[in-house]
Amino acid sequence: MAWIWLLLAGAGEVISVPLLKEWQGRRRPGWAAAAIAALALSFYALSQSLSYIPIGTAYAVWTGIGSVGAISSGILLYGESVNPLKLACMVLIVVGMVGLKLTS
Amino acid sequence: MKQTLQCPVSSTGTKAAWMVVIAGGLMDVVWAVLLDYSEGLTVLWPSVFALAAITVSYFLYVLSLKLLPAGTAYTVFTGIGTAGTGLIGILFLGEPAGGWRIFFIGMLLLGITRLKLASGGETVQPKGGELI
Repeated sequence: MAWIWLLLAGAGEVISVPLLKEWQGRRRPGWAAAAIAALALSFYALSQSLSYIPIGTAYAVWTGIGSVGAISSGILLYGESVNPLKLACMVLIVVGMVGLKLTS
Repeated sequence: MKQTLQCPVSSTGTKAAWMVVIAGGLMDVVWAVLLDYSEGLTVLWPSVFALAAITVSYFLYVLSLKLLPAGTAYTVFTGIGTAGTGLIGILFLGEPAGGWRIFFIGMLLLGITRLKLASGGETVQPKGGELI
């Protein structure tokens, strides 16, 4: 359950990036409210995961999901470039997260 | 580091920029540890201070993006956050210091800090940096 909270925390962080970007583009308060709700969900879910997961692990995984998600949304939604170094870093992060889960 | 050299700011400005980004990274460690003490946001003061610290951290990050290239700012920020929470957890909170745990956190640290540099000067910045 703690790992599901942690994944949810990462998802909230990831969703907030395109929401903030849309807000920047359109300046409608609804986008800002949605982004703040996503960040609040992320913060709450992260706090729940800490009952079982050490903070060093939780922070690393949370930031890892945030980075991979931000770069992925840039590639998928905003047509940013894909290069081998980016892909290698994303693989490194995912392997690191799975490794932490399996050895914890 | 190539990006740092391209940043057109004076040496005083650069020093201030690094202080902002380092303070922001340390603030990330502060809120993470407070969040741990908040027992799932059920203990009042750690929860309040964690929320305050994450807000400060967020604004320091946005400010550092005005002063340093996005890739550099993000790398320093998340690097300090990841290494800092890992170290404080092991040194002061009794978190496990096993070889595999350190190995995989190190792997994440490497991937996270390289990722933003690998994307060069592109526009998507995590943590809402695109607001500026």
